[in-house]
Amino acid sequence: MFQLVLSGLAIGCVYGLVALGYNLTYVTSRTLNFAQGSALMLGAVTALILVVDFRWPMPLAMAAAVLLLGAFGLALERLAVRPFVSRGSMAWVMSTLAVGIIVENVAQLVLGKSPRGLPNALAEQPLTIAGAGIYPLELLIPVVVLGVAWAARMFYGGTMLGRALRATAFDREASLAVGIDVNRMVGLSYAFSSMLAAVGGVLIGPLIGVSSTMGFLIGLKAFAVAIVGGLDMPVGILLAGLAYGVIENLIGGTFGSSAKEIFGFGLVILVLFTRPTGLFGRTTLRRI
Amino acid sequence: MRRVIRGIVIAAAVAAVWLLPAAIGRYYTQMLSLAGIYAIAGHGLNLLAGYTGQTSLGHAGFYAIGAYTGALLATKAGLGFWSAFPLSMLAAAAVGLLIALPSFKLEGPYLAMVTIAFGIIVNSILVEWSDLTGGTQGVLGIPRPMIAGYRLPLERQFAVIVVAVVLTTLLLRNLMRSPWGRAFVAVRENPIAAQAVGLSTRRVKTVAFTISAALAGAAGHLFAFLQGFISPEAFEFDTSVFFLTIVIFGGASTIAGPLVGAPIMTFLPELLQRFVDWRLIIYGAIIVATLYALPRGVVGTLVRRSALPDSAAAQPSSPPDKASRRPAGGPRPPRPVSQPAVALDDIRISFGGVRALNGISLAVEPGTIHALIGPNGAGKTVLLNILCGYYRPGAGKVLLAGRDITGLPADRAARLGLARTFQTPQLFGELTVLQNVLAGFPGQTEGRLLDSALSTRRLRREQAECRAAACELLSFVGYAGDLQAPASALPIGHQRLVEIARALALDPVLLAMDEPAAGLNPKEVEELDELITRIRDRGPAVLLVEHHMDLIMGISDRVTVLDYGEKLAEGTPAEVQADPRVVKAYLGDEAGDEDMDAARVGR
Repeated sequence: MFQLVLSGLAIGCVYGLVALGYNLTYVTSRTLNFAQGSALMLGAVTALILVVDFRWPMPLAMAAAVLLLGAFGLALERLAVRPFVSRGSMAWVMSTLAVGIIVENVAQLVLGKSPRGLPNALAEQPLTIAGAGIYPLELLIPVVVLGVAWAARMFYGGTMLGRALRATAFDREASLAVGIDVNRMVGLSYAFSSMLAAVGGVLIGPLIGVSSTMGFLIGLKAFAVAIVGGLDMPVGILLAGLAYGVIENLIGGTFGSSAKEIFGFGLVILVLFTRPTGLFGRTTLRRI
Repeated sequence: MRRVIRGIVIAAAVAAVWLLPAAIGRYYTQMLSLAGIYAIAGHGLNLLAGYTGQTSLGHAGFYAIGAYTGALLATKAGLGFWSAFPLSMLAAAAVGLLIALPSFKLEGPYLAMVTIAFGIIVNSILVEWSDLTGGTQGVLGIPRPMIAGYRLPLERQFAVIVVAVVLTTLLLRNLMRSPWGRAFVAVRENPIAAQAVGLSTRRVKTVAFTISAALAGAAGHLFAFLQGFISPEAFEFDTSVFFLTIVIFGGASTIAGPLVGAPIMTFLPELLQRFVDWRLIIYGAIIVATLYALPRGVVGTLVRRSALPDSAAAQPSSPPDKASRRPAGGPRPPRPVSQPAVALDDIRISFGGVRALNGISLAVEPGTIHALIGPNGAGKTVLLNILCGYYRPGAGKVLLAGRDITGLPADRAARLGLARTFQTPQLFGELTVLQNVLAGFPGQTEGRLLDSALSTRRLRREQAECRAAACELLSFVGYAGDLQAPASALPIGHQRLVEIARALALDPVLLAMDEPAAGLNPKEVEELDELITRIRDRGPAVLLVEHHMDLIMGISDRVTVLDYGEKLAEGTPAEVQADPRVVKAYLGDEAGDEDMDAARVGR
């Protein structure tokens, strides 16, 4: 039980982290990056290739993977989102989904079909805490996620660039009027969002194995978490992520792993039926 | 002559469907049948995601429900293809209704999430509930359809699917030409305006969702009996994306879109067979390329015109000179003159602690023009929004011809006779001028779903009457432009006129107009002045929010002045102009006894 909660917290942190990526792009541009799951996978795959094939040291490989995904996010926004924003949601939903499909299948070409292990010293020997066996990495994940959240807070509050991003999120027109390059801000939000997914990927990779399909369900669950938390409420999203991870693990431990999806997503639907803007989302008054 | 040609075409088509399978062989017959099935699912999704603007990423779920209902009824309950068919559709429609009803408040990504979750849950249940569904193995040995004791071979099953595609296409075409078609697009284009013409967005979305699910169910049923076996693999998230690709590639919001998208998307992977590993990569690239090169899809790019088909022959291209009779139902019974058209009683509302309206009472007498004026931020528009049901007041009552309508949603208020125009004209941009006004006649969708789908004589007659009445209204308001122009292409003055004509189509008890003179040039204001008087003479009382003092003082029977959510003064234009408190509110303390005329500098 305790073990289920602990490992649930770890996976929940990853959901929360990836879900924050949906929040980032949503507030700056009202678009969502449906390639988040693929970005997570791409981050893990990049780290794997650098570590295993190029024998880079792990921390360096992780950092490189995260940076590379920043570039991926920039390109994604420029090529598959910006041209379609004005055309309504169906266009960018499809284009980001399509990029996801492409990325996943390219990864499969490179990687092959069977999952591979991403070596990590912290995921080899489990620790025993109060009778629960747990990898050190699982304990480290919440620390990293909190660190990222704290760094994001500092960045948004304390730097010009961060403030410009917040301004864009708050009011696009007004930001344009004071000379903020809104397009660049949206591009940056895509870069950051893909980087968050990559961090999630390199953290979870050693625990679940790296394969071209590893990101698919995590991406969808992170989307569910972002929606349930409230797309414009970062704290709500992190809490929802933790809750989803723990609840899912407990259900999986009790009813078998396959019941996980049915109950998890069922819960998401119930939440949305009762609170149409998520648990922590605000309903704004329609101006007429 | 046309009949003969039509007969020959149909006969040729029947012969082609009969002979084609032998000519192309089993494999391609099977593929073509699949394409037809996907086209039916595409039609359904197009109705929801294209016309109604509600993107679903979970249609594989409804497709699965149709397929498994059919397959299980056939293999476990001994039903045949035909007897199980309506049940498969019904099952999918029922689940669609169940999902749609509580989803009406959900927008954009939130709705997409519900549909994604739904699709994943259905797929997981198919895998898990193996006692019933056969788990990952699926259901095997689904018998082929029978007709009169004769088991249909593949070639004839193909014909069944072709008939199903044709019927679905006709049904959708009829629907889109009917008031329902306008309702779907209206909800997508402008939900606020949809409510203003009396459409319940909830009802329209629910109907679209349910029909869409039923069609996906029908496609699933056909799929199960075509394949002979089904397993959960065929109903994963990818399938939902595939259906959406068909809609977008073919052309969202076009009737022919799915008919073009489905075969191309079905045969494309075949062409790419040589590049097994690269297949899905190319598939993804094609989606992106389509979005770049064919933003409106294949059909939308080839045929550029308004969102909705209209039988052009039946449409006048310019407004008729003479007044025509009113559509269905005729004029309303005469209203009792004893009570006000609209009465507001002690209305209060606050937003986050700010009291926007603090106990406002107001009565608009029938046959009068009642102006509501006040400085910016006085609460005029908020008052209109409460009156018309867009906001719920914190306290107080709204009476429409003596009937309490407090808290009724905007569409109900509209159907009871409260018409409204907006500060910025709220038209259905993709609909034509004529379609916009047609959308204004209330009650056209009530009890008319079947009539619409079948395009019955009764419906066509009613629509012809509406059309004549719409033309009359357009000429009444003085609109002399193109009736077939999309509303979004009109200059602001014309938009205003079309919006007024649409509001009058409700045959309202009261017409509330929010700053109708805003953005008009002096000549247009003069015409508006005269139009508002004619509207009053035609029947409805008019509640007019305006800043344009000349206009107000010239035509109003009564004027109410608001300031900071309080009623400052009320009376005839002359009385109000003479009221020192009003002058003070407009010009400040110093201006003490100056004439109200000075206030005109505002606008």
